Amino acid sequence: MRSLVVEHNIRRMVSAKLLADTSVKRSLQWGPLALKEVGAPKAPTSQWLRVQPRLSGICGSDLATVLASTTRYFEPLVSFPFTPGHEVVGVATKDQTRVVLEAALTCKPRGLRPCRYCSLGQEQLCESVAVGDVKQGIQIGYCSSTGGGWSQELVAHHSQLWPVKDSLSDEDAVLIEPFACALHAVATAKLQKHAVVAVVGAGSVGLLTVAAIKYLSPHVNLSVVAKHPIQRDSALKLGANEVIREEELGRSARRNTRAFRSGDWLSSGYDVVFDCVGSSTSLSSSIKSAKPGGQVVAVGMPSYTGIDLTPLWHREINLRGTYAYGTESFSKKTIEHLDLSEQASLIDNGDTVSIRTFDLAILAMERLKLGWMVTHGFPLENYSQAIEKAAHAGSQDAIKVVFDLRKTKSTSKGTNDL
Amino acid sequence: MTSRPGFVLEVDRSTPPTLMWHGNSYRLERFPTGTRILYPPEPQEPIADPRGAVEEALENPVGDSQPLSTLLTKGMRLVIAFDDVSLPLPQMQAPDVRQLVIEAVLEKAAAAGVDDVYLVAALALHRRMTEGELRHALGSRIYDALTPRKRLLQHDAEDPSNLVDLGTTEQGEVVEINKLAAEADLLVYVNINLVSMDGGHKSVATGLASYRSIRHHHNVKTMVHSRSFMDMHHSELHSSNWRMGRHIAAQGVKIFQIETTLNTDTFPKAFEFLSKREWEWTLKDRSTFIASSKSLKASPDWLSRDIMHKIRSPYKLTGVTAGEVEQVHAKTLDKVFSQQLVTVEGQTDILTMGLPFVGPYNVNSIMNPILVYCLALGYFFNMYVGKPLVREGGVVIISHPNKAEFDPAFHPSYIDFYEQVLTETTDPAEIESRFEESFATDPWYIHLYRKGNAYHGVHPFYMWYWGAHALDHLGGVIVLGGDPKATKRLGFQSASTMMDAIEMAKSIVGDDPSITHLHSPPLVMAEVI
Ligand SMILES: [Zn+2]
Repeated sequence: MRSLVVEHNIRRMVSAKLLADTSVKRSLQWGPLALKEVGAPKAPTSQWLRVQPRLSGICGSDLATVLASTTRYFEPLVSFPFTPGHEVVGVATKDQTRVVLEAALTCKPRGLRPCRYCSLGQEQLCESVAVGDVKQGIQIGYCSSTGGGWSQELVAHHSQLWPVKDSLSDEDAVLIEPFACALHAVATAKLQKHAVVAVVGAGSVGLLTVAAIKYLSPHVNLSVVAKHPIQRDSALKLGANEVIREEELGRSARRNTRAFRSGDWLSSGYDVVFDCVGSSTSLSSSIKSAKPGGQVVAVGMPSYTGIDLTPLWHREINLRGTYAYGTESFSKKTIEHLDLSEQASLIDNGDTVSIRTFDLAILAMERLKLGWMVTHGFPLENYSQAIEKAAHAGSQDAIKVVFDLRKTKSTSKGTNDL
Repeated sequence: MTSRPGFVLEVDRSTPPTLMWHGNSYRLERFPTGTRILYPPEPQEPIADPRGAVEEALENPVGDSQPLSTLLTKGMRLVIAFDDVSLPLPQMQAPDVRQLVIEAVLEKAAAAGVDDVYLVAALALHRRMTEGELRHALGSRIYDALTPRKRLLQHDAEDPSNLVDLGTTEQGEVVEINKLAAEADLLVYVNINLVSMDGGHKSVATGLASYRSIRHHHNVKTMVHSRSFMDMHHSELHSSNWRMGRHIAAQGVKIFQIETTLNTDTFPKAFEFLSKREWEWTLKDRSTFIASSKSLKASPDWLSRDIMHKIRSPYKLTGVTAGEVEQVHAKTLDKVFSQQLVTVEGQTDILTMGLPFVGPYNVNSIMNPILVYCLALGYFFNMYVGKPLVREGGVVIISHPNKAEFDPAFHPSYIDFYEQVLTETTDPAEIESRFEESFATDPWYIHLYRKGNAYHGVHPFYMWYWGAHALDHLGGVIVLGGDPKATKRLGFQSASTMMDAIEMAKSIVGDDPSITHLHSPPLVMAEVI
């Protein structure tokens, strides 16, 4: 079968990194990713199923990996050679059901007894990355045992597969995994009803975060920093109260909270800023525009950044990372507002109710139908074009770019005909 | 020597290129044959003895007012309010006419043994004047005598402890003005009537009022019904101010109004060609034009702005009248119109105007896009009596760089207006209903207005309302040589040459349009018949 594969080749990784800033195409050409004819991955145990991807998304961390622009932090957490792709809607070959993939390789899929985090439902913090039935890798898409979405076939533990209803299109379904990440980021921020909130960045992560905020807390006042026309329009469509440019963030924070300002110092500011860019400038302005004692949530994967943390120190800002998904807990009132009280999968904790993030993402997607955010699909053969498109996204009228594996040889498609 | 009246020139093949302002600079522009150019009248002969004229006016007031010296008695409180830095434009060469008048009033007060005297700058919602500006307007003698004793104040429309609610007019308009001024035994108002909008009851009813009060006439509805606001008899802005002024008088506030008029001697020797008609330029004028326009063009913005804002106009006093507000103002208006009015036959399809470096709200500062809009569609467009120079559905072409640059100290709320409001809508009524209140009550803007040198948070809204009548009337606005992004933000079109601009205008007004160019400054007002 055909598969895109990342190999451990230091020379190629260095080349990719050096070239990534000037040309995505050349970076790919000299980088560690290649399209290969390989054997299908073997199921590690009988608990594992074969899945044939239909659509498989390209996300920011994938780009960082194939363009080698990530830090080497993840290197010990993956096993080479691996096939990227963890945002997947596919078909389980056993019974032909359509499924989405909860990609994280935590204790359960690894066949281990739950670690202290997994037993609390905080799978995103799982301690087990290199033990058990499969090789190291935090998710399918970074593990040499499982294969990944950017291929014709992968294997997944049955606990990782969530069936999707017919009412969801493949495009809706492929966004469930990244949407679960966004829901996790927002749910853990515990927004007050009329909170004043900003999302910095309106790529697919930013826009899904906007959707998650407006889904979980429709009454918050939400400002979104967006650059490109498609991003601005999408943010407004998703319910943003205002769309601004990055340099306006501080002034917008002041206006929206009627704060006083002296230089960069604000007497108030956003209750929560979701930074979906992760650059030095975005984190700096996020920290400056959050209110004293407020939160900055790093949603997009940051890397090395040089930022002035004086305002973080002086204004007691909580800078927090957010990764993947696990279990979220809500007040019963929130669950009622979300019209989820009847869901069988809820766990009643007395005061609060818990729900698996993935379950919530599927239920939310059935209501929101965000598939329109999938703007471009490419066959595996055109991976260079696909990755280039994804890397330039907003500036080229794209939001989410996916590999379309529904035909053996498909052609590039625009927004409408997907 | 008598000054020549203004007139309308029709461009033919022998007409030399016409001077056109473009922000901190200017250039020569060729207009199509048949274009009408509206030239201002030459500056009127000034009063030979200004001090004598002031003395004469104070002691021979008009209306039922007593001579000033008989109104001043020992033990009384005298408050002298005066127009702020928005007048005249550019600032005049020292001594400023306010200094001349206030010195005369203070001398009389001293002679009568009045020592409880306050001076109040009638800011309305404008920014506070700087020390330098106060010294320039009043002279250092007055400044140094009153400042240490805290007797030189600036009106604070947001100071609840120094505002008094005088009730409402018969139309329900709240009249709330400066308490110190309202409760004085005598309130003397010292005005400079640069354009016909200024003065009269507007001096006290706006200059010393609060936001609560001002919003009754500074709004879209009023401004759309002020045609023009330079013509008080057809101006709802003035009707409202007149109701308030009469109400203030009826509440027992005793006002002695002193109004002054200046001629239009706008530019000093070094720039005198700017006031001349091009075909009368001497060789020296021509070379000064070339040298100055070249060097201004080559200078960075801050430098050319600095050069321009250092211009002090050799304005001279042409009239001073004192006494009862309405009668004083009637005389003032006669004087203003006699200096500025030019008769124009018929309206035009396209009106062109070059905007200079300064308007009422950017003295010593940057003319941001909202002020560009206001100077063009508020001030220049409204310089008419009768009907607008440009026909309904016509086009205005504005020459100005129109850069999205703002003065954060003077115009903080303008930046937010530009970013938050104009990105949503340019419709005055929608802007008013959706955004005005939140800006007007924003505590930070209020703080900067009261303690810093910022225009009130609501001020950019007023700028937008000032242009509401024009927006209502016009078929299009084109900014020539302006920043395209900022121009688009204002809701206007951009053109890079006059010919392009005229071509674009044709798509709105049709082929073979009539064109009229407003050759101003110096100030000129059209009486369109
Ligand atoms: Zn675990």
